[in-house]
Amino acid sequence: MKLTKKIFLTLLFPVLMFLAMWAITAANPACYVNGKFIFLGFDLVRFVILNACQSICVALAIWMQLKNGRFDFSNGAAMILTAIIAGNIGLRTGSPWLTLLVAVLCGIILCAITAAVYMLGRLPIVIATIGMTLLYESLTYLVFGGGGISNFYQNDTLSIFGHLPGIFFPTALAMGIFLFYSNCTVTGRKGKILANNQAAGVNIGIWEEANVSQTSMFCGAIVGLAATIYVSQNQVLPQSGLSTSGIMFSYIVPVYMGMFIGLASNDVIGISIAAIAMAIFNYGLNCMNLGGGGWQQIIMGVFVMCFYTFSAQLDNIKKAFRRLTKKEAVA
Amino acid sequence: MKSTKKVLALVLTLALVFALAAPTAMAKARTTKIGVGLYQDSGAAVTAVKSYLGSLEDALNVKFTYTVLSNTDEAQNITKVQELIAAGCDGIICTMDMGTEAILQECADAGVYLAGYLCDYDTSFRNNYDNVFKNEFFLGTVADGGCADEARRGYDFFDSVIEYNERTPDAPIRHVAMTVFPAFAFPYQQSFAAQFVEKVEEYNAANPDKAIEVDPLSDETDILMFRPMDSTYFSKHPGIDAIVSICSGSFVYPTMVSAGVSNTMKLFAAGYNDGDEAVFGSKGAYQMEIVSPVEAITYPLVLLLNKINGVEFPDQPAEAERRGSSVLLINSDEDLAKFQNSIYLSFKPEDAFLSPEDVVALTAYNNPDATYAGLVDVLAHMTIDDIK
Amino acid sequence: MPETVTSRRTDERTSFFTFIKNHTMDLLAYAGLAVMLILFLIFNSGPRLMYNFSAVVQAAAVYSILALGAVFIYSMGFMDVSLGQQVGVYVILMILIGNKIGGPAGVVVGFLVTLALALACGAINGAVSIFLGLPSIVTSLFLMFFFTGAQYLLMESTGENTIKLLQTVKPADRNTYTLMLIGIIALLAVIGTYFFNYTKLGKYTRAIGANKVAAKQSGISLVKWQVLGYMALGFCAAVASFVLLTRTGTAGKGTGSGYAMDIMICLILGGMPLKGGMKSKISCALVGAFTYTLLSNVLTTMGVPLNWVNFVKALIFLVIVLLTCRKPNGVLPR
Repeated sequence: MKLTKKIFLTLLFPVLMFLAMWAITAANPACYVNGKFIFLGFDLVRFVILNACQSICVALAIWMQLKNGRFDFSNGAAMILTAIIAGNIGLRTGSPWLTLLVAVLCGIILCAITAAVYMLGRLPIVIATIGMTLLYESLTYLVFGGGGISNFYQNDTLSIFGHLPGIFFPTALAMGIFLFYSNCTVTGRKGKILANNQAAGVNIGIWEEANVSQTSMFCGAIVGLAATIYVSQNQVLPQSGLSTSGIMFSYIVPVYMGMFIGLASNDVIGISIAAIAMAIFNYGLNCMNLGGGGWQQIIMGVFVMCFYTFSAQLDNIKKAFRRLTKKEAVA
Repeated sequence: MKSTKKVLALVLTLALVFALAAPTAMAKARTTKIGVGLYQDSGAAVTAVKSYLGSLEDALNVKFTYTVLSNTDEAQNITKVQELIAAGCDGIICTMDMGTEAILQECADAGVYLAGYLCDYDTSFRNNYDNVFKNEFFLGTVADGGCADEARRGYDFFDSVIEYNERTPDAPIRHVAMTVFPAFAFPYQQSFAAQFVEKVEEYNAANPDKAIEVDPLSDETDILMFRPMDSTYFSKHPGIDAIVSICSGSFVYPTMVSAGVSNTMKLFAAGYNDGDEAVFGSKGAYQMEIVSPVEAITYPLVLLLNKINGVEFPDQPAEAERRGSSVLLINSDEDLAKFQNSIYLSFKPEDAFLSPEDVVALTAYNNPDATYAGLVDVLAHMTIDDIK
Repeated sequence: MPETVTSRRTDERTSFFTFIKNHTMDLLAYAGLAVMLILFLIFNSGPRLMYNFSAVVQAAAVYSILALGAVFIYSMGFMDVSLGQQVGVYVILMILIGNKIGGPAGVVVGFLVTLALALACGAINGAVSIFLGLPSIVTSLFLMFFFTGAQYLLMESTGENTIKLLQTVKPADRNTYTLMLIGIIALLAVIGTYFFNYTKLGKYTRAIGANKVAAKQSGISLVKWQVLGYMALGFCAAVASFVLLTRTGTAGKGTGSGYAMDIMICLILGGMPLKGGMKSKISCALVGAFTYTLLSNVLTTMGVPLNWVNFVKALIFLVIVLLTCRKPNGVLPR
């Protein structure tokens, strides 16, 4: 595929999303305050960047495991626990860089422990990761007095990685780690084989334990970066009852969309583009006062369904389109 | 053979010792067990409540067991209460009005009493009064800041804004917007907003040169659906100097920080979150916070203990009541300094409004002169100025 | 050669060990339940034993019924993340319809409407994913978003934080209510066992979970049996919603939240293979639901501090799954 066509197809989704939300909000009176159209403005840029960067990091962590045929439930819990530990240490030391470093190390350790339980326990991945999710969630009640971390985001110095322009650093690092893993490591390049046919992959010599452990380390680093952004933007409270799986399900949308969009480029760009488009979508809904409550959930559900249906049926749509154009040509 | 005899002798000796000790143990008064269903399972408020109640255990011969309730799932609350009852609790303090009728049925089946804390039981009061407030197993509740239509929270916010303006005549607040939780969950927050607007209008009429503009409460923009405020709020309320957050500040402040306005815009909020002291008053955006005194739990506790011990106040009302306690209104750096000496932040029982001896004296079964009026009066003296 | 006593005893011992070997995971799941029961009895001796027993039955009833339906889905290797939100909406609808019509008839109509809706959602869940070529998780996600939104909007329309069913549906006598719940669980367990073990529904759903391609090529209609499997779950969701309503009498915007994950944990604790297939068993539902409920109950009655409850639960979960779900041979299990 030519480069210009690739770029066009890659940017098509967010551009279409932007144009669609622009048109919809422009027609909605709720989007005008004192005669001023509020959709377009620096607030849009800031919202999209801040939300998309967080989504990109979490989505990359999810996709890294999914690409190797494993659905890891525990990424959300690992992120929350990492955020609490790194945030509290950062608060005590006053250093955002130390927070970042501790978060990355913590993420790696937690994901490595999950991998160890999976490999040594020889449990199905979903069961192993659900167990680790329960464990990590329970630890959020035990570390640092069980109070979570409430005031990290309030500190301008400490929370630089959650706001402009510092947020670009962990995001770029996460994307760089993913690209390095996918293109420069044997594990990353051969991971797709395991996802498509695990037995065949093992039979041709892929060492699955090495794949699991290396993937977990890289995934853990990305989880740590996601946790840094998360604690820099939010109050982080202890979680229980697999509530962190909700985090996973909310960030899985850019993953699935990114897989499709990334066909024209690569998965990192696909996921990033999908995250940006969804952030534009959410901002538009916020402007129309549909950003919270019941309607936002329903609209999100319908949108997700339509997108997946479109991507799954693309070949059929193309065939139908070709048949239609042929009929017109004959006529 | 010799060693066997020695072992047997040892066993017999131990058995005799236990046999002697058992009557002694049985003769000791049975410890009352009180279950506490909290509204959250972590944070400064929870630690402070546990610290305060822990200090009362010896003096009252009570053991406290804790669980956490849900503000959205009734079945979970019923399960938690059942577990507390099964754990041997004689009385239960609840902080939620979810599934109350079914919970009271459980209590009735087990002969366990229930009282409320930090909750005005408004849904039950309006829709199910006979089955809840007239139920012999429901003893009453205390809510922070007054119950329902008696509450004047809106006036407190107004007073705080004026106090701020008087303190900073060079940069007064002239334009505010508000946020509230949805009416179906917190029906009185919109009336608090109306109280605030009413007072502002009175003030503006008397002081036209110092008029304060209040953006009307918008159903679409200003109601937070239990998630952080989104950044479009600032576009929809351009030019505001402050936000009056009748719902919790923790839903508003993170967005202020993300939007980069936390250094220029002020926040008057209900609630208090760990670490807010670092950004309060002269140090940051927060200019007012409202804290519920943990010692208000004394009201349901005393009522439960009296009932469990088979004693009532001579002036006990015929039906369960809901009472309001005072609140800790933090309006300035001086107030914050006082607040830091309270049990809420220090977690030291000696910093509480009430000592164990004070609480013992409030109970009818320990003090025949104790009255219901006296218990209610204590609730009114838990303000920032009452901190030692 | 005549059979000797020794050789007969050897045969019996061999078949006993073979039985143990072939049913290790099931036995360990039952052992987990037995341990919980023993702990329950130890920490609940005295006058509150019967009270707590009925409390456990009440708490486990909804999970048991949902898990019985979920077995059909999980045996196909699928899962449904919208289950909790569906239950929430069904309870709210039963209350709204019941209060509108009034009396016992209102409750019956409310249940029937909800049942029809639940069966329809089951059919959608089962059919749409195949017709549109989507992974089943996607349709499940769609329903999760949809029902979450619907629950919010329904509660907003009432203007209340919780709504109450005006008609009494719960028997006044506690023992009668407990017996009623046990009866419903037993009845559904018998029906579920029959359909899962002795009819094509169970046989084909397990076959689909074991190998979808082989199942299709052997003539099994994937669409039909997937739809029927999801409808079985829908039926159980409607009944579970009614049982939940009898217990609480009320509903709110958070009713049913977290049930999807709870049911997954129940099935795992019961020894259900999440990939489905021929080793799926209907007994996993009841074993897992009661194990899970007893675990929560025992930890509270033991007096485990609040902060440590989740940690202990997580450790117990990990121990149980390490004993019951471990696959020592072959490639890493998926």
